Amino acid sequence: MSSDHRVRNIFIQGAISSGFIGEKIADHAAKKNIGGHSIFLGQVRADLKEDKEVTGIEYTSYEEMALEKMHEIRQAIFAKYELTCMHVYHSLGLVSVGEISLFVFASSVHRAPAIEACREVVERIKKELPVWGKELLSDHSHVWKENRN
Amino acid sequence: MSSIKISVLFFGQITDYTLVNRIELNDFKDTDTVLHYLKTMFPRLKESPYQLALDKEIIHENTLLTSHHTVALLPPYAGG
Repeated sequence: MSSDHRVRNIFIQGAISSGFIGEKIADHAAKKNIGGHSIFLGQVRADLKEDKEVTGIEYTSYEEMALEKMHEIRQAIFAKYELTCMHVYHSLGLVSVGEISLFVFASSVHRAPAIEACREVVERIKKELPVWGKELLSDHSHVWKENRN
Repeated sequence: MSSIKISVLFFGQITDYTLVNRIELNDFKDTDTVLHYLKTMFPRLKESPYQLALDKEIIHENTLLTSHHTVALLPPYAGG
């Protein structure tokens, strides 16, 4: 069984480092049945809002609700796709422009389930997890992040 | 009648004008009554989009409250 019933924590305080991502990839070397990984990395962009540049995003969440919802999404994804494993990490707190705030990592025997599951999980995270992003602007004011389709 | 004690949680842009993340309320019988009170306290709530969750489940209709219920006001999600 590649899925389990534990509600896992997905939240990381601050940015997700490239070192952490590298370690997670390396952890899979021992899983000899995996033939493909699909990885999505969400990065904070220096958008212009009201003529001011975004310098970072401060993420907050209704954590308990988000973790229960993520567990539900995870169960549905494992039921739909033949995955070997899947890992999701999302930042809370401040993430500066250029840093990573979302890391989705799906693995399967052949590539297709990993690629399709990874995409679907990213879309569902954006639509269904109670997470908010305060975009901090260069003049120290802020606007609230809105997700596009 | 025994007192009904509930918590109300605010998130995202709503906290720009509530200035707190959480309040405790006594003796509100249902979610409509709570919302009516919150809109009086925080008039900007009338123009804000949000969904309501009761004990982490989204609700779409007026719901009776009992003690220890947690009502949360959730503006549009923006994760990722």
